[in-house]
Amino acid sequence: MIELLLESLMLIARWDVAIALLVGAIGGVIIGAIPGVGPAVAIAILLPATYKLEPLVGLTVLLGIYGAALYGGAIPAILINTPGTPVNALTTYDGHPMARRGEPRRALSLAYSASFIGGIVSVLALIFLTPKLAAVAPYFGSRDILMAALLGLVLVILTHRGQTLAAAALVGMGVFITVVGMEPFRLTDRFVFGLPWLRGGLALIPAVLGLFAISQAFILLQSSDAPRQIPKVTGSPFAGLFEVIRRLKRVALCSSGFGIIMGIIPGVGEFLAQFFSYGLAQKLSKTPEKFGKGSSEGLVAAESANNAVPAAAMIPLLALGIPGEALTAMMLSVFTVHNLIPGPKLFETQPEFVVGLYVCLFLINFIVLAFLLIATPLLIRVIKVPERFLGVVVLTLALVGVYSIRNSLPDCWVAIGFGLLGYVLRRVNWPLVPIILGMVLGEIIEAKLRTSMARVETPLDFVNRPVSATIAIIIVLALTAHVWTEIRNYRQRRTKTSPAA
Amino acid sequence: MDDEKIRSVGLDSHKISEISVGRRSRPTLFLDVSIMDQPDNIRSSAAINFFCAAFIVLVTLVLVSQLGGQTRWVKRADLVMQPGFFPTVGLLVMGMPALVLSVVSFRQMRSGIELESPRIIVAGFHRCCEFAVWFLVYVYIIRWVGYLMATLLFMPALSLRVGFRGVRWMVTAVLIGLVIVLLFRTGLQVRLPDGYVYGYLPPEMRNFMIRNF
Repeated sequence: MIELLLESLMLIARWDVAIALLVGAIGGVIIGAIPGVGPAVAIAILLPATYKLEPLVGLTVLLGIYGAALYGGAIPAILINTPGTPVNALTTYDGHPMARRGEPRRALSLAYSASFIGGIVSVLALIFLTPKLAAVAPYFGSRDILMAALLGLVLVILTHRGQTLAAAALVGMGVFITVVGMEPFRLTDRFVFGLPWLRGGLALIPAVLGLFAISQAFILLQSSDAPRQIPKVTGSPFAGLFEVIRRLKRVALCSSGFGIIMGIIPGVGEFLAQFFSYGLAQKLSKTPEKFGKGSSEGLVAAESANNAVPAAAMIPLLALGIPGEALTAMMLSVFTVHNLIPGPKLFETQPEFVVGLYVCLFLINFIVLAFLLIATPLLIRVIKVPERFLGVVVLTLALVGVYSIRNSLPDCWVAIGFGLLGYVLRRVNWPLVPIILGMVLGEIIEAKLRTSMARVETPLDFVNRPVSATIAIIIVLALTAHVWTEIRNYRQRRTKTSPAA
Repeated sequence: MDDEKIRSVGLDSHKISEISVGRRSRPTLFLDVSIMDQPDNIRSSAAINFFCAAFIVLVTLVLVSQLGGQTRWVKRADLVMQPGFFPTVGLLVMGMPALVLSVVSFRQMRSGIELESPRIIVAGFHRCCEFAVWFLVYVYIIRWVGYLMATLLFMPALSLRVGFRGVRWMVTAVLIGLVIVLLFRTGLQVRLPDGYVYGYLPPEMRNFMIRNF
């Protein structure tokens, strides 16, 4: 074990990894602190650029941005009541009231410390849980992976409560997009409409860039840029750190645990993690009435939960090769570009790479915390950047992402098409993530469905293995619970609106 | 949650509803996050959902009509192994929920189809199309003048278009453009097309420009 750790340290003790750590950590914080950009946009733009880098370097940059952006997103959430990234929305509940009553520094410090605990605990979970899952992974056959991917799609749909039908339609759209182009088994064209450039299919990167970066640029370019009032931040940056360690460690650890569980489950992610953690912290608190009015417990619960998700979301990706949400789906392409196949084989053939990645994730949290404690006054200036100007920058950067994959003009048209689709979906508040997960998991499902057909004679053969049967039961239970909840809600609504009531 | 906050972070509606529900009655362990449960929102949400879902149904029907022509039927192969099987599954998963949603939304609309909804859906769309044209012009001029010059022209021009006038903004736009080029093309050696104008430069300078810009 020590030998492996030393080998991994040798692997990361290089100037390019050190730069990747700094760029990922500091860049992520800055991206998170700018409302309207967020890690999805940044990762989508940077993804093709990282293909040229070594996998460890590229993944360190992307994971750094993913994790650090959630730290940085707390700054505008607390100071101007506008979350820097969508997942910092709950931070505004208690962070901003604290800032308004003259405690912005304490609120920021609490948020950083809670995020740090969430980040570190989830990296520890990644270290201990991934090998366990990877040890079971060899027992995963085609049918088991098929069921796991299917579970991912079902959960993506069900977690969009109130929008399940819209999410299902968009998942279907994503699945359909993957079939466009040459079919890999029989080598026949599917839905290419006689266009030669479509035979290569609609690639994931232009779709991701269009949906996340270009559509966001369109939104930013049309914003009104109202002036922002930012309160002065004074006092000790370390006060919150000691407060979390002394008084709020139970809340931080419980919420981190929730974040880890939600991060591991495909399709769930930061939103439910923070809402469940916040709800639980409120129920267990001695002062639940303070939640939403500047409660330190509420702030710590929200921040530690959402920061525990990024590392935890890597667990199913590294162990099984199944991404659970949009950002890890993008990162999967970094593995495939470098011929690295996530899964148990990765742990056997390149254990030093996996351990090196863990160490990098660990270090990122320390760099981010140190940077935030020192540089917060400078970061506050970033919030003042006008949104329309950000839109110009995002659109300029989007070109690098789209064009650099294969210098293809059709890719640019595809990205623009997805950008316009993303804009409309954002306008009507429909989710974007189901399309991306439909694309990624749809491809896995088709491939595994075909390879498993050799061993399947009746539909029941799909679930005659312990793993696939267990996953199938989970799918049925999740669907049953959802239908039951919908029926109950429908009855309650009818009772409320009936004339007798 | 106010409009600016929603716009700035690009939240999905379930997330917005989570937040708005939380503002009214704090989140509980068993969350009620459905915006459709809120009577005030039913009309507008239902109308918008109806138009979007109906559009998806229409697209699905067009694609279904193309299934025979755009996929091949392979003899002596199982149904699942047919090239057209998975596109059919995709279209079913796309079309069926959209159909149900359009029916449900139509029933939720209290006074028939509100003609205001399509306007809300496509509001600002014409400006998006304009920015899309800007983007495509940027893409095409790279092939002529190279990445460096195209970026140094595109950033100030678009900044000017969206209202950033004055020398300070122009200089900022040019400097940021330069940083982007130096970072991605010169530093990370991201592959981008060379400009035709580079061909007219002296040999040493041409090689330098092709390699770095």
